[in-house]
Amino acid sequence: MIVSDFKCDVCELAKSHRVSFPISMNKSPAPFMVIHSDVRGPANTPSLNGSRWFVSFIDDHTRMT
Amino acid sequence: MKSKSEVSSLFQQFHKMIATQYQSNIQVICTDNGGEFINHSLKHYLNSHGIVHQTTCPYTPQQNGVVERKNRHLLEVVRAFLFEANIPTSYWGEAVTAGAYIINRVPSSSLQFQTSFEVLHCIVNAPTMPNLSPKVFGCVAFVHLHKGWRTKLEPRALRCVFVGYALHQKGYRCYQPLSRKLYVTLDVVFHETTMYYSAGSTQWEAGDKVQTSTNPANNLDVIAQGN
Repeated sequence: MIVSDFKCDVCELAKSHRVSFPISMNKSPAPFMVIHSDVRGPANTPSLNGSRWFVSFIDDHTRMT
Repeated sequence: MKSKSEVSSLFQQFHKMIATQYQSNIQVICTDNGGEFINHSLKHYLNSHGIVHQTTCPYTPQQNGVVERKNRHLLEVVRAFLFEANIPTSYWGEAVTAGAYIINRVPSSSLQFQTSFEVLHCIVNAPTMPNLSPKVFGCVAFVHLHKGWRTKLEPRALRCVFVGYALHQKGYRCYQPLSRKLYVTLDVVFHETTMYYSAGSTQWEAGDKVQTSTNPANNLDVIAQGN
């Protein structure tokens, strides 16, 4: 019997784990085609103008923030 | 931002700024599944402009690697700024923008040790952004008081904290905690070896916190000095 052919329901239920993560080599060819964005917060202390969150927009090509 | 719901309008502003300044169209936006990104107004805006919205799978921030890594870099810089300057935590907003200014001008291994700034300006012909020489965050800054703001025998400068770089003006941002005024100016002398807040000045922090929490909306008064 070949090990990779072995399928068992109990093993799936008991031993389920996350798939290992592939390394992505995609990079956009021009600035500002792909934008990554995330929101951070809430901060415990409001900043000087009373803000508690900040949003970042990052360009994939130049990594400009 | 004062609330998360501002993301939609901020993205619209950002999109228009990119379109006008760099003549390029955003094609894809990658975010997580936060409610601030998954809402009706942003969805409508993205659909009407043909922008693809890629989101991560739930509980998989690994797919958002670029932004999570940048956040780590940014927050490391911000913490370093705050600890080095012994500055109250309420300055984090200024520290984030000052950190982003520095990071964009520092070489990165993912760009073959060029800076983001260089790569951008090699490709697009954009109006030159103000490029000021970097200064130590939180150091003592003596802001020159212009005529009309002083009399003959009054001091000619004001002792402030250096908090960053102006976005659309060629000037440094300096904050005076006592009067809670922000000065944007080039007429400033830095004492980069002296920090405004000394180590162990906890009473500053306590006092500053109380003031900011009582009136957070109006405690920033921006004074833009022209030459």
